[in-house]
Amino acid sequence: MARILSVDPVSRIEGHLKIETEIDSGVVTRARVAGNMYRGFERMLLGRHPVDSARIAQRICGVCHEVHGVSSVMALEEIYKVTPPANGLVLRDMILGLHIVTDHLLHFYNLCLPDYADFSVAAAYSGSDTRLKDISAWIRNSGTGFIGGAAEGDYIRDKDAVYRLVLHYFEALKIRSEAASGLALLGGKVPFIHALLPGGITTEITADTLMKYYHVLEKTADFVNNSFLPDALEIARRYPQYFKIGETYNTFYAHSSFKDSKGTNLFNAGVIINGERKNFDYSKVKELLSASFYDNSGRPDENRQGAYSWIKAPRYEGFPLEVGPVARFAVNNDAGFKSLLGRFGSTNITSSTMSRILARAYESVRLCNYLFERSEDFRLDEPTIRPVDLQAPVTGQGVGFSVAARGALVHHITAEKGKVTDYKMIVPSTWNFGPAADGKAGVVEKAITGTPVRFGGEGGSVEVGRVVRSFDPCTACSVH
Amino acid sequence: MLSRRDFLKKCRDISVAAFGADIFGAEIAEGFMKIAASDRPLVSFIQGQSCTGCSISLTYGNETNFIDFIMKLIRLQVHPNLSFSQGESYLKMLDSVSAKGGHVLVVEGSIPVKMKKACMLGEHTLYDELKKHMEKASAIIACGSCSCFGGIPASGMNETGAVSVEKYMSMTGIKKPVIKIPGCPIQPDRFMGTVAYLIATGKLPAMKDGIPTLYFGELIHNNCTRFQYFSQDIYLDDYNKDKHSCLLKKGCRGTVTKADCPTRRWNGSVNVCVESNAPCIGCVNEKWPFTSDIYIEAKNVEDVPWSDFKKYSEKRGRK
Repeated sequence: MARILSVDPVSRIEGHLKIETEIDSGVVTRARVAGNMYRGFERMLLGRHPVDSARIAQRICGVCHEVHGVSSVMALEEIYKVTPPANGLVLRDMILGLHIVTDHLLHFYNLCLPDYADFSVAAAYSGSDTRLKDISAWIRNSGTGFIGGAAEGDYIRDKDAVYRLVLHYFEALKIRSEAASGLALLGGKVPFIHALLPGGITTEITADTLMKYYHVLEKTADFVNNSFLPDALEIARRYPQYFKIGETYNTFYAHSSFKDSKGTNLFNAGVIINGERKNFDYSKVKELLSASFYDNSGRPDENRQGAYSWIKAPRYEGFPLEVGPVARFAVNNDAGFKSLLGRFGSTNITSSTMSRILARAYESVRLCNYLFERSEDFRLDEPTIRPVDLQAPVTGQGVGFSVAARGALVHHITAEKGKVTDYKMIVPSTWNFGPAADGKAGVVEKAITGTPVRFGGEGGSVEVGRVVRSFDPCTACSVH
Repeated sequence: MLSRRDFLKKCRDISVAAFGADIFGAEIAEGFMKIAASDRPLVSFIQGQSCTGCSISLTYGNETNFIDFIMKLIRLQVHPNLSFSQGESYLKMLDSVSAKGGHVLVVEGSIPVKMKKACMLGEHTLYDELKKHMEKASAIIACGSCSCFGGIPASGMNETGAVSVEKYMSMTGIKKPVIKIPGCPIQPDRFMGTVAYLIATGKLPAMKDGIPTLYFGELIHNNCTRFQYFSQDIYLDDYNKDKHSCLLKKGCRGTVTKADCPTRRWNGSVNVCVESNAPCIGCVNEKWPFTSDIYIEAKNVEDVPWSDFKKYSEKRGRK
């Protein structure tokens, strides 16, 4: 007989998320994914000056703030009919790229890793590494609750591996903080970059700013190449079954992003449905509301019949699509990522828990390489921003197609006489975490279905947690 | 990782950075020593209508280092973004800390009181659950502008009826001092420094309206590194050319916002909004995100609605 097992709240993610599963004979047979928080960004921006969205829209999420800033600024630039100078675009890429790498680091080490490694093993450390000695003493004596109470599971328990991973858990926080200083040099501060305006970046960039950025980038790239990618590969080697768990519809979608000075994109845009690659057509995107807490006009309604999530259900020609690094590589049919998956017996880029984890590590390597080259496109003494009247009573529409760590991102602004009349965001986690609609389960709901559940208990299933976290849930974003 | 000796030195540095005076610093370093030995407070985080930006800002750190903070200063019990437990066992952990009491409860984000299901904590609404976590806490910290004043979720038409922590407490009858550390997001030193002060002295810091005066006592404008341009009437017109000028005519709210951003700075002290040639948007201001346009451009300083310097200088003079 089927039993219900919930993970509510899902921790180590951004936001408020509930996962409810039905389990029959040790396998998830049905899943419901619910976003459990709402603020109403699209509606609170109504009536404000469109430029305000460059500041307010970043506050959708404190984890992936820059990406919303860039997306809304891109939409504003369409309304203002302004293109940033070359330097403005270089700086924007330098911010966005480094940000995405730090986002992937947070995801792998601080959010996902505790699902795979048993940190308590490090308590037994008796060697001479002072950092590990400190960590070991801390785990033994500190009474620190947040690292306790992990769900039952088949964790990595061999000492050497755990020692290394635990060290990297803390190292990742340190690298992220250093990378943040690189982002702040260009943008003023993080989270929430205020130097980002329609038309470019306001900051004065001097030779020493670039050198400091470069220094931070080198440190980050070093960690990505020597720790992140090897650690992700090790997790993949130890949990090969997760290449078969967490598969979605294998329908993907990505935007183009990260152009170089020759005009070549690091990622191209496209949609894959039924194994066929098509060009992306924005007019084919619809957000369905039948299982979401909104009435038919889009107003919030917490008591809506049949609704179970604050997330809407986006569909492309009726299909739910997966977004994120795997989608970017699938759409680009990326040879490097294919060969990486090939090491684990895959011939194609398909969606799975482990392919998502590997894709983030591999993408971080690619982005660091890209950033080294891209930062050389910056020309000292040339403009970084074009003047824009930030209070002009502008009228028009703009769409910003940008990229976030978690996938393709759209900000769509309609303005009349200097007031926002419509603001629409279609956010990566909306695609992945949207509920069922028209008889089709949402992307993550589909991914969880079929997951074998060997462990349970009051912590819920570690297996389901692994599948869910592999998408890097950003629930504040998905609901907004 | 720091050795114990390095750590104490670091504590002293933090104290000096955070509290300004050496003598004060020494006192706190002593407090730190006691704490490092054993008595570190239990800390739980609860997120309401938040974006996690304050927690992320904390992990970035500035002068203060987040790893030192969680390893040497406090005993972090529950944090939605970091806790290894999930679901039921996560909630049990939170419940058990709150039942024992004596903990520091940090609330990030606002609380919806009209549309209560707009924020859940497990199966229950945050509105119904939060009270029990507050009742036995020894200190409650409203972390960031949303929990201090309602912030962004409470702006516009505020469909969900988002309120601040203080408002929630008065609605549910909880009487307890709240330390408010505004900011969108909070600046890490201001949070970790305040907690360090609490631990070291066992006292609440000096506050005005529940906001530590140490960090939020002075107008940004008065300590702005660009104040000299203001006093010489050199104002920014073109963002691209006038990199060394005052941003007031671009709508800078440094003149109505009290915080130590110009001196404390951000992200390893490398930069701060105004230094990056971007006007202060007043993210620690009670009124953030304001109902007026964020960037009110003016030909003359007097046309900026908040350029009433005289009022401020008189107020200061009378004190």
